[in-house]
Amino acid sequence: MAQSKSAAYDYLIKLLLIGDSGVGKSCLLLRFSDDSFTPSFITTIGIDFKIRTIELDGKRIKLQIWDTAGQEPYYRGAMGILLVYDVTDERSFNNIRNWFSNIEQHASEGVNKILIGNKCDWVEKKAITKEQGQELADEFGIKFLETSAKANINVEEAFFTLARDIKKRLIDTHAQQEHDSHKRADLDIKQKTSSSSSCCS
Amino acid sequence: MSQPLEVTEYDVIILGTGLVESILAGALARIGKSVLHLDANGLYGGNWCSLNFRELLDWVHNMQDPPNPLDGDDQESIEGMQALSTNFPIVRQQAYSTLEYEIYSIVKSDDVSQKSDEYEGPSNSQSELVTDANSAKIVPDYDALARYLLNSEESEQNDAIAKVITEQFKSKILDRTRENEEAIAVESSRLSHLLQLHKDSENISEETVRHVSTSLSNFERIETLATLLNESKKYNLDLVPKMLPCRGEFIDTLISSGVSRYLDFKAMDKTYIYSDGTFDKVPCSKDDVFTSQTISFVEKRTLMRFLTFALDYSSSPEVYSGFEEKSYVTFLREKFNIEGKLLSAVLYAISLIQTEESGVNTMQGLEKTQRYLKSLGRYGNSAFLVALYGSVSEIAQGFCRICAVYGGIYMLDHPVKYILINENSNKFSGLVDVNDQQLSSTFLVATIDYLPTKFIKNEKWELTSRAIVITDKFIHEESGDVTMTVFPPDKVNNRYPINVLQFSAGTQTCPADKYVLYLSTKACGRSAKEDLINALEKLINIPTNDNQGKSTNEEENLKSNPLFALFYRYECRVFTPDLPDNIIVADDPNSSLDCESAMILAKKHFERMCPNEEFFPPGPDPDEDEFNLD
Repeated sequence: MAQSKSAAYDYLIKLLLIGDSGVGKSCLLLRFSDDSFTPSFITTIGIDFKIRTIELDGKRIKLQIWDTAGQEPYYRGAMGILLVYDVTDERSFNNIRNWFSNIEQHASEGVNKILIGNKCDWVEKKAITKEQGQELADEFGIKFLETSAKANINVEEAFFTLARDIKKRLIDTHAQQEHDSHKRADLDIKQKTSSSSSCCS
Repeated sequence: MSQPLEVTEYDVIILGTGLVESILAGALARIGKSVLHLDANGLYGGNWCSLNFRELLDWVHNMQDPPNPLDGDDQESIEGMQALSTNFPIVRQQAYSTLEYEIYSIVKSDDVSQKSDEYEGPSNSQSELVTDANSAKIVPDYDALARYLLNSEESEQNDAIAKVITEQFKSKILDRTRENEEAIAVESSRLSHLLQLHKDSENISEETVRHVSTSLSNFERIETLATLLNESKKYNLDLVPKMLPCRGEFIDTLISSGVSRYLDFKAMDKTYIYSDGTFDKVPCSKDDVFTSQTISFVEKRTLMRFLTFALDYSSSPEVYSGFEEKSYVTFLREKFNIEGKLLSAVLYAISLIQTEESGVNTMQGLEKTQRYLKSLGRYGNSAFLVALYGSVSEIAQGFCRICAVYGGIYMLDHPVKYILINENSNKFSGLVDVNDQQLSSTFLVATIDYLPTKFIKNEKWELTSRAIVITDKFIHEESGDVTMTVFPPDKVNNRYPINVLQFSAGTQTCPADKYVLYLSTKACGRSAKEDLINALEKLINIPTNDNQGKSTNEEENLKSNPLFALFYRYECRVFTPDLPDNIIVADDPNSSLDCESAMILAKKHFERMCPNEEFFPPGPDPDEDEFNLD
């Protein structure tokens, strides 16, 4: 069964959710991967990464989406990053700049980013306007969406938009060869346990 | 950025994110222990870290010029506690010594033929730099400087100015702005072009030309440095690189813990052995032996007979009876008639013996040979894997992630001020962190770097000489992403075998078209460079003052050229701790080429802390857990 799953995609894309604690990173992830919503998360324990395979232009793309899991973020190998703030929490919005410079410093060059203002259903508590979010995204030169994991607003769009941009950058361009070689490097040590195979050419 | 922690009591506090500490962090959190994991550095990996190029250069400069060393033995008293200040900066210095590095001119295939009558800006090959020229903000008058250099007949003055310029560039390079780097790149290429033009014109004395070319080569080195810095993030350079054996405790735990899901690997492709000016591919597996063209038919039979025996030696004790305590080399000679090149290959490329010929007895040797042979065939025809993005720190980070997933708390860039020892019970009771917050735990796990010098009884430390070299070509034709080259003892004036790992871009260790060599050997001479330079010279062109890196004969043109070489001694600090029994010392990386022992040590420490618990019981697999909405 594991075998059929791993064979059922053309490309693997690794995404990362970044942002202050409490902005709803895990909720976004669970909404997208499991179509579920659990309102009472206190802190992220036990969510490692989630997998969802999507289809873009006839290619099956396996998204491996990493929650930060309370760990200091670690960017190696990430192809796309969702920068998340909470529209009802000004501090989380102001901290986006710190997160952004953190990414610039540690993530690989050219990594795709998208700015996400989560909890947009909570209109009466809103502290950051859509315009403010858009302005910041424009300044960084990245895309922007307001989402709600709870009301299931724009969650699909957020992940699909990012995945599409990554596909454009890595798969549809000349970088394809590099990507292919990276794909071959993906030596799955778990599934090749006994026989000598040619997986590591 | 760090705020006081809400929780101040933990089952275990761990200091340092090196491999052994990180495995322990993951194993402890996995069985439900509360773990606080701190690192004084901003990077994961501790003494097992991998660095990008800029970080490596900063690290070298920090090592050569230690930032205000503290006395590690200050004592204070806090309510019945003995508070011992930690000595992080000092001991860390002691692990590395005899550091020296060199930056080389990039060897361009057509660089002498460029000629033009007028300076019209850098040529096409430097177009990338030209576009940056407009944005460069710092433009001292280098034209005037160049003219001055050329007009002056005073040789000493010339050199002095060249030095000043180099120093000036150096300070800019070390100042962390991209703007500076671009300015340096642009200006150095402009200047080298100018100097070239003047060199080609008349009326210049030979001596001046010599000085100009010295300056030119200085500027070319600056250009190399600018190139390396521009691609800095594409480097993941290991201070102590390690390979992962395809069979053993380590890989089994990677799989059972789920950490393997976070990692990608490359398999080591080939092993070469040096002998009398040539490099031969070593036939390691039976398949290799069959197809090998470097050994004779008789040798094939000999080797095959030996490999078959060694794979399962314990079931034929009669073969080695009487040889147990004798040297392995005697056993191989007398029982199997293995001699010459084949003997070297068995000892140094298959059994990976790290000492001189007589240093290993038959039982130790057979165990090593068997370990290698057993690792073959699981993932292709290779005994070792290498994790991408830095061979060890990536694995360490994976174990940290498992710890975090099971509730561990992580703070990097978080030094510790004091270790607290209860005066009555003589047990570790807590620590004071950089925020002056007092944190306590039942156990403390720490590397020596975090422990007060009082506890450190220096015994015989294990010294290795190491080098990290960045080159422009493969050292052997047709080789893959990971290869090993072995120099047996005495082949290049070396007392101990020298191992060379070559990683290419496929390992995510360096950018495309660059290659990284990691050299290592047991230390014996005065410096790391002295121990390794002879071997390095057999592998690549090392420019001397005479040829300035411009190779003259064809053979040398095929060899790869260095851009950067760093030599250093590394000490694995082995000692008997004189410590409260609830402090566990996480081990330094040792001199072994593989990381197997780290797992065995981590497991041993785990069993001491949690005697009746399982080490990494299997957990849920997110890969099996895909919720398919389509």
